[in-house]
This record gives sequence, structure tokens and C-alpha cells, in this order.
Amino acid sequence: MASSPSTLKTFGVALILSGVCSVLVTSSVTLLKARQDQNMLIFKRANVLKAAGFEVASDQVNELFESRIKLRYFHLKTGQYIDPPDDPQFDSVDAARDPAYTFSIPPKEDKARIKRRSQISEVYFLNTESEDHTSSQKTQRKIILPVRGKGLWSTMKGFMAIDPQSFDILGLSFYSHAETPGLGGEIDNPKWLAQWPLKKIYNHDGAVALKVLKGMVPAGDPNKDYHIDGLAGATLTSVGVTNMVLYWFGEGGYQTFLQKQRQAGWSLSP
Amino acid sequence: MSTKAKELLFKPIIANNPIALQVLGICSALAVTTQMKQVIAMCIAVVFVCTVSSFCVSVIRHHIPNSIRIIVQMVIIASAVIIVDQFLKAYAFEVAKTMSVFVGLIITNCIVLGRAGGFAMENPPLTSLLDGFGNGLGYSFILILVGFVRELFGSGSFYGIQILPKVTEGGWYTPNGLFLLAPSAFFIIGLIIWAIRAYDPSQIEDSN
Repeated sequence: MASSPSTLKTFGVALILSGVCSVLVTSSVTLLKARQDQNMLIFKRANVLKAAGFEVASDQVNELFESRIKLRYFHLKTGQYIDPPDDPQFDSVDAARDPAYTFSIPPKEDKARIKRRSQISEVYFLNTESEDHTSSQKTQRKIILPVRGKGLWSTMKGFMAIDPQSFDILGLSFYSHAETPGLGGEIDNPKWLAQWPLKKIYNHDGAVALKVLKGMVPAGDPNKDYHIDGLAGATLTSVGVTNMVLYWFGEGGYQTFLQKQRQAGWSLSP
Repeated sequence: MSTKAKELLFKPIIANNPIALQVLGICSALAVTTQMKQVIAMCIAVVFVCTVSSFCVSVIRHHIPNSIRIIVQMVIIASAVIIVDQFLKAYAFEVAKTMSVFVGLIITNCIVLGRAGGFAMENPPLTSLLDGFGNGLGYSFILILVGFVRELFGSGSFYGIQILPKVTEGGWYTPNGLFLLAPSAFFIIGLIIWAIRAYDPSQIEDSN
């Protein structure tokens, strides 16, 4: 070790080292970007498919997605379809922080405690066109929408599949959360998620009635169509899931879009 | 392999373990040990960062001005960590997602800086490389033990494969939630330290 190097040498070493390191870091970031973006896209698509009831290996995701799913965009407030955003990687979760799309949710309406959401959202349609005449398997049409809400520790992000006519739930999946493993973290347990299909979101008055209970749904519960078993030891996570559904399927969320497009017969052209 | 090289590589596993004897790198040992998959990814990452940074620091050790030595070491470590992080995101996406910030936090892992600053600054590149690698192994050894116990008792599985059938899935095992929380890692590391010191009493510090 040099005992007292000149100031010039100190600067020189710092400069060269920064130069070399930044080249290394930037090249690793740039070279791997395409693959990372591809991973992100596959991950998102796999989760849409999961909500729609398909569990596939990651190398089959794109093929299945492209043959079975149609992606459209809509404006939440008007409920009208819009042209796809310029950015092909558009994601309504990221767009919530983008000044071009952001909408600040009034605190009173912010049931899901997410503060901001995007003004436009993606919507995925499963089996919109009868491309698979040959297949004997009759699959239901499904609408898949992104949902998210605050649990105990984290924002839980997922997709919910519903029936385009009855709005009954057909599936739910979470792709990101940091709830307590083993307790709230059980929101991604397939056993728990399996009770969601065929539950009803809206009651006869058209209000969101779906609720994750505290404890099990009792036998003979008159409202069992709207009730989901609570997660043991995770009351706050359960409440978070209830509020997430309450917000996204309420007036501040997708309700306008769903009702308007059902009346219009779910035409897919913007 | 020469005796010196062997010593550099294997001494940090039991005799001079960075976690058990020096009690460094505890935070990541608590954070990522709930699942073996994360543990393995973390171990590979730390071994790589520790080896590479020790080697690089040692190569340029005669040119590092004393006044900015820590910054120079940090820059090298940080660069290695970012590169590892990018690789994990590209090639081990699922694991990288569950580990979130903890890969980035390898930068603050005292073991890495300790080896780069304390050993690599005074030793030739090859020796430093072996020392970095050995300390990475020592860290991995403890992490794998802790991860094995926590995943087995906390989730009833090993590397994601269910071994003890859980009650929620129709089996008999009620997972012990404590093992999924950070304090359990403290207890397990404590027990490991106890075991190692019982085996090698020379590690016990004088009480006064």
C-alpha cells in the first residue's frame, strides 16, 4: 500500500475504477434486459392464465396465452374501450405511478388502501373467438382483471377471473405479496383459492357482498355464495382481500366497465 | 492442493466460520433462510461476490490509495452484486422474485467487506480468491443448515418438495409458524454456535 499517494493519483484511481465498474454494470444490465423483460411478461401472462384456471410450465405460457387470450384496454371511469397504450409493456400497476395515467383515489373511497390507480386498465378475455371448433372441450368465456389491495404488510397483487354475464367469480390468483408466510401468505395456497370459483361478487341489489369471513363459513350459512373461509391467524390479510374485492368491483373500480359492456353484449372492438 | 490452499478453503467452514465464530452476515442469514431454494441462490450469489471482490481488490491492492480504500472496495463489491442480481433476474427469475431486496443487500454483508478489506488488501490475488471462496462456503454452510431446519419444520418441505404432509393439505403435520419468522433463525444459529464450540472449545471466548 502506498503510504501517501498524491491527490492526482487518488483521483486517477477513483476515475478509472468508476469507469471500469460502470462499463461492467451497464453491459450486464443492457445485455440481460431483453431476457428479463421476457421473464416479466411470461410471469404476468402465467398469472393471467392461472386466474383463468390454467397451470402451465413457463415455456408453454406464450403459446397458450397467444392462442386463447385477447387483451384489450379500457378507461375505468367511462367504461369504454380505448386504443392500446403506446407502450407495449403497459401495466396498470406500474401506470398508477405514471403521471400520464395516475388517478389519486379519494381517501374515503380508497377501500383497498392503494392511494393511486391507473385511469386505464387491461382486461383479458379467455376464448373470445371460437377458434377451437375442433376441440370438444367446451370452455367458458372468462374475463380476467387485475386486482390489488393492501393486506397486513404488503400490497397483494393478483388477477381475478369472472363470468361475463353473471359476474360470478371463476378464479383468483396472487402473483405478488409479502404477507406472513404460513399465515397471511396462505392467500396463494391453491386449496384456499379453490373455494373462490362460483362465489358471487354482487348481491341482488348490485352491491359488492363478497366477504372473507373470520373463521370457516358455517354450515347452512344463507349467504354462503358470498362468503369465503377466513385464513387462520390472518384476520387483517383476510380483511384486506375483502376490501380489495370491494374496491375493484365497486363504483370506483370496474363496475362501470362491466355493466356497460355487458349491456353492449361484450363486443371486443374499441 | 497445498496445505495452505486447503486451510484457506476449509478453515472458514468450522474452525473460523464467518457466521458462527465472527458472528457476521447475520441479517441475510435471518432473511432468506425460510426456503432452501432461496438459500441456494443466496449462497451462490455470496460465494461469487466474495470470491470476485476479494480477487479484484487484491489485484489492485498496491494502487488503492489509503484515503479512499473503503470506497474502492465498496464500488467493486457493489458492481459484483449488481451483476449477480441482473443474472438472477434473467436466469432464475422465480427465485430472484422471492428474494427481492436481499440480493442487493449482499453489498452490506460484513463478510464480503471484511474479507476484501481485511484479507485481500494484504495478500496476493490467488490467496485472496481462495480466502473469499472459503468464506463464502463457510457462510453457505450455516445458511444451508438453518434453511434446512426452517423449511422442514416451518413448511414441512425440503427444496419445495413436501416431506411432512401438512394438516391443511390433509396430512398430519401442523407447521410450526415460528420457524418461518426471523427469531427462529437466531435460535438455530445460536444452537449451531453452541454445537461448534462444544466440538472445538478453543473458540470459546474468555469470560473476562
